[in-house]
Amino acid sequence: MARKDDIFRNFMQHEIFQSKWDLQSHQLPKTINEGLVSEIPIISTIALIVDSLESSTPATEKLLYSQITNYLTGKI
Amino acid sequence: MIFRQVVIENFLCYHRISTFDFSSGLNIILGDNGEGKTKFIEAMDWLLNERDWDPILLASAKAISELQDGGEFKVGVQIVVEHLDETHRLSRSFVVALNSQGNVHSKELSFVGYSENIRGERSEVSGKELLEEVFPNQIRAYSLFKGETELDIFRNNDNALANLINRFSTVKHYDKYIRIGEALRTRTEANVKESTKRDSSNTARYKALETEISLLQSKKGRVEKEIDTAHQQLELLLANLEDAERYVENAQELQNINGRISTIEKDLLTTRSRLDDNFTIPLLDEFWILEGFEPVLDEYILKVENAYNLRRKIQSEFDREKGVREGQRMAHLELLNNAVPLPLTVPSKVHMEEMLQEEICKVCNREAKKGTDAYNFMYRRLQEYFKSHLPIEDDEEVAEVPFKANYIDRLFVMSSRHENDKVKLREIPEKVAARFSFNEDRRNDIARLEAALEVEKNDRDRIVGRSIGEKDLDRLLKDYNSWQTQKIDFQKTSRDLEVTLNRLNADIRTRTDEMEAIDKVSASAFLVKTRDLMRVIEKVFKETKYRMYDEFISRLEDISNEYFARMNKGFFTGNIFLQREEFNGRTSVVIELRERDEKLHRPNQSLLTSMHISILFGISQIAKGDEDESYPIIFDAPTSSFGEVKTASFLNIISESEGQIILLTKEFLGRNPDSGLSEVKPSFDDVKRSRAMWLRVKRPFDSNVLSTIATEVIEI
Repeated sequence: MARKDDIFRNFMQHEIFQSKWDLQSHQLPKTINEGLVSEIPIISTIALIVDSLESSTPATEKLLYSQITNYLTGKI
Repeated sequence: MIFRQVVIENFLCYHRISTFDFSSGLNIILGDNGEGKTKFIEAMDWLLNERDWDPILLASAKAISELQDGGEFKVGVQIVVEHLDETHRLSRSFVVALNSQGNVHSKELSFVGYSENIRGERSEVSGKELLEEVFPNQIRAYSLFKGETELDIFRNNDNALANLINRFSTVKHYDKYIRIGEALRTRTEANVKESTKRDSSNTARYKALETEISLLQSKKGRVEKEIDTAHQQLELLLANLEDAERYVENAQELQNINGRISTIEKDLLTTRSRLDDNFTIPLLDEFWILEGFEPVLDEYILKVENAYNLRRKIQSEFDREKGVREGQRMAHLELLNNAVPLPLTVPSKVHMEEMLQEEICKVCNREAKKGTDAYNFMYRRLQEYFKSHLPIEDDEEVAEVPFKANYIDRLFVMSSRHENDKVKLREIPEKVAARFSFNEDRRNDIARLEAALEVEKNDRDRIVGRSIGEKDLDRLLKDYNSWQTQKIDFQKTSRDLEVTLNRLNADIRTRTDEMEAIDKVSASAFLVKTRDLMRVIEKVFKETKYRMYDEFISRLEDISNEYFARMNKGFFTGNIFLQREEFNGRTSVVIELRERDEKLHRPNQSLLTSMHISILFGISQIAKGDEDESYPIIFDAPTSSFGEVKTASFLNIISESEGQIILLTKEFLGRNPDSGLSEVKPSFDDVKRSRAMWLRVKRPFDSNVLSTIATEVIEI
């Protein structure tokens, strides 16, 4: 498994996903690709950030913010 | 990576070439004080780290003393390392030369590397680059430990453990997420504020809140700085107090040991003075030399006795013959009933002549006619009178003596005296045995006292080794009381500042809540939701890193405690406790020894040392697991406070380590009671190790002349 999937999965283990979104561990995505298509905005946003930061050409903070807001438009 | 070989050439006490061959696992180098252990560490330090040391001071004094005009020699340290199945060499060296003016100088300082691949092809490379490749600086910084105090890297450097964790764990990967999370949250908060401000209905209040929050934040920043300063000062103070308490204990212990050493030294002096190995006086003055002389004396006495008896016999015969003659003479004078005769002068000559002429004995008043016995008696008596007045013929008398001198009697007297001396002769073997037995007992006493002295001195070395020195102790003790007062002041200040901080946070929270309430009605809902979402994401990023950090620490704590328990088997240990601490954006790790969740009060040095080593091994084990590569660790006298038994147990545990450990120690060396030279104790046979060497200065040498010192490496 790629390092970015490990990192993403570690974020998904945060207790807030269970306490706030009532998601059980088997309902949480295991990979970036699964995260990117999640219907839960915070999960897909984290997947987007990890995917970007772990790529060979990470996006700048400004560009990343722009990508996130574009991505979230209509979803929140 | 492991060190396969270290070659030291003309470096300090290492004269000419000294080679150390190492294996993976535990490599032990034994050496007494002053025999080359520290110089080995310095050689490694010089090679592995950029040390700005004067080269001439590093050259062997013995090699310099042997230099002749125009001559030169190489000084250097070379290591052969094995890294990822390839062999590399690193060599730092220079040349020392003596010019015609008699000046010694250094030249050609170099640091080169040679890499050899699996096919055996060798190429020269930059020493610095090769060193960084095979033994990265970040790891090198935690690989060479001199003494017990340096093991406490976590105390000497607040960030040491945090740095090591970053190096060896995946925690560091999460730092960029924390940075981006914070940046995105800040941006979304700014966008929300900007959006709210576009709504003029709440502008005044919003701006007022913003200003108040800004002022409160500013105050909060100052209070946090003050808290930070107070914490640091308090920590420093607590460390000083802890140090002082340890040194006070050391001083007391030192005083006790010095007292015991003084007593033992006095006893040794007395015992040595009682040891009497000089046998000249007893041999000659007390006649020990005559032990075994009795048969000779017996023969002498017998001969003298025979001679004496013979002399007496001769003398007796002579006396008897002389006695016969005298007897015959005396027979004529015999009186009735053997009465004692009157002197020849009674009656006088005149009366005798008158009585003879008148033929009358006027003594008994009777006639004494010529021819009668009475007349003849008077006549013989007068003749004897005349004869008694004639001179004695001495020569005739001397000629009759059988012995001219009385030597035999004198010999006999001497013989009798020696007869009495025989008792003394018989006492000599007993006296000799008693003296030898006494000396043997004293030698045993001396050996026992010397052993006790060595133990006490080793204990003293341990205490002095971890102490700050007796001179500074007084100053510390004076500071101690003032630090105690300051501690109470700082604790009160910290508590007051914490209260202020909590109040400021509450004030900020109240105003922030009010601002966010305004945001909800005034700002774009999308921006507010985005902000809230980014806040959660930042929290997830941050707390995930902390969780990873905590997991790493927990794992490290478990492994360290395993080593710790094994290292101190049979002793009370408590547990190593590691905990992450965050303050003002800084992460540090609290390290404590605990018993049932309570911090141990002033644990002894041996426990602290084994705790530090356990954590180092824990890190090393985790590092190996994470990177599939281990690195050597070199310890110089890390177990000074342990004692030999615990050191042996410690070495047997670390000998199981998969990584390479090079450990230098003066333990397991003792003194040969006969030669006084150091020797490896038999107990070292029980110590598990991959390799062992013994450093010893070649004998003879002059302890005051450096140029006579040359350390040799003896493979054990």
